[in-house]
Amino acid sequence: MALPITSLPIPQSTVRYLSSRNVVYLSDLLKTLPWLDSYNEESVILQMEELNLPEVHRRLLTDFLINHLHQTAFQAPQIGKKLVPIITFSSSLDSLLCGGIFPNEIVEFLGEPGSGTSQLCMQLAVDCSIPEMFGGRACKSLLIDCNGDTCNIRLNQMAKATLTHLNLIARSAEEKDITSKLTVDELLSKVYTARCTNYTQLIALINTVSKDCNYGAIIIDALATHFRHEFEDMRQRTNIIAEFSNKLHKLCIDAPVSLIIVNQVRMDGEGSIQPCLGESWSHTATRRIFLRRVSTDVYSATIMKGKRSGETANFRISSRGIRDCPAQ
Amino acid sequence: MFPTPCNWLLRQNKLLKFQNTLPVLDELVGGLHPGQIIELCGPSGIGKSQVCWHLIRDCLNAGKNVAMISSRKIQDYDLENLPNLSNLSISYVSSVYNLLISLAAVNSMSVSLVVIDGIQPLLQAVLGSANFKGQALLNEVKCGIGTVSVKSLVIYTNGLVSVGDGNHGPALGRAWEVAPSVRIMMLRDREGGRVMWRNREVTARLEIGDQGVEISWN
Repeated sequence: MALPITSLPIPQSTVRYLSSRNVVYLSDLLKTLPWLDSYNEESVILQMEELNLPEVHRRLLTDFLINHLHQTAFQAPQIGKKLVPIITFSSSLDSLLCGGIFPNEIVEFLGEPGSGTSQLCMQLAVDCSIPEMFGGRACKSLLIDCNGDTCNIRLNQMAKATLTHLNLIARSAEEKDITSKLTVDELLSKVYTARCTNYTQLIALINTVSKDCNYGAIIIDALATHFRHEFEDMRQRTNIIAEFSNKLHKLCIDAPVSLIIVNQVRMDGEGSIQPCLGESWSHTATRRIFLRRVSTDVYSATIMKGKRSGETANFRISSRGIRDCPAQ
Repeated sequence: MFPTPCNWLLRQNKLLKFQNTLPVLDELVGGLHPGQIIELCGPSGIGKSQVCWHLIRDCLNAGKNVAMISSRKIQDYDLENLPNLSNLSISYVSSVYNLLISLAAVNSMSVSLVVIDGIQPLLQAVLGSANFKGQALLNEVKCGIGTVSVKSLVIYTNGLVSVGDGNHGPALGRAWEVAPSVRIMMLRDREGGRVMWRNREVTARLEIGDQGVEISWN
């Protein structure tokens, strides 16, 4: 495999040492490269030890090989493990989303101010903590607030309404047992909130979380807030957003997290509504949903990208949270 | 690459070529056969990945192997209704270096179709950095794709950027413009339908249904 060592992310000193030993390609180093099923961490370590490199270079190369080969190994896909989605408590919205928000995906919600995006974020955060017996994920959720729209009192209200709902639908003795012991406090103990006041804090937070992610959902409310007004150099903004998007993708692949990102919209020159953050950001999300306010209580969601593209569903925001519209 | 007789190469290509159900696309790109590097570029949500999945399904139906290199996790609802899943190999990449290693690995597999979904986020991050290594890495990727395309058909998806005056062009800059052998631009026309252009002359219409995509002449 003719992959020159100058194209690997290893420091210059290692590259210089290897060139002095006449190693130009990666295949000069490893005689048998571990691809596909024969990938074996021990065989890489053994082969590196046989090469008699100085300790510091050997360790760097072994780390690099193990990390990259492990992550990019080709595998056949396996289906069969049933993935539990995060529901939104409105059955029309859930069926539009093919069940809800699944793990390992990035979903983007867009909307003008007042179109229900923050309410939807809070509802999804609370819904993560629904116990497994009732079809929920029972996982922790992280709600990153860039705008200041997250209200703890509203989260409390939604959690109380969720508990009431669970008490109503509990049928079997086992379910009744669980709901009798469940408290609002316990539901809310799984919802974490963090407030970011500039983009550096946001990136630092995602970096910390990526190291060992045990959240089931990470919800970023209004990503565009910190990127719209602070930058004078557009190229720097594009670079930072591109790197941020790479980090989010890596997070999604490594851990079974659902990433829900709320974006804002702007008017372009011709008077039509466009999402913020530009074209290069628009490829990050696997699904994009546009929210709109139809009347006092009623909101609509349209899928702009993803399965069921172009379809719309209506939902209502009441004091209990996101619910279905009453049947006409 | 050793000198090989032409008839042997033609026979290899015939073995790896697969029957597809998109004859209009076949004609639009000048033939879906090994040696072609096809770029599908278009705005978000226009159906680039859908076209790729349709071709993957055709290739698996014909019993050939497919390698997919993706920067985002493949969901189960993409994989349902695909036959012969054991012939599909997926590799997840999150940086340019991962992409280079995956491309080198594909060389030792014998696949008919290689799909790289989402090449823009991987390369955009390196292009923006201030050092000169970005262009060198871009060249490496071009060479890697070229080596893979000798034995397989390579399709990858790119994004659009605005090039001034309201026009759009493929992302990743002038140096990347020569990377594919055919570039298909996918855009929305005035009525909201999806069109595929080659060289601004030849157009075809794209419809996305539940069972796959349909491409017809305009």
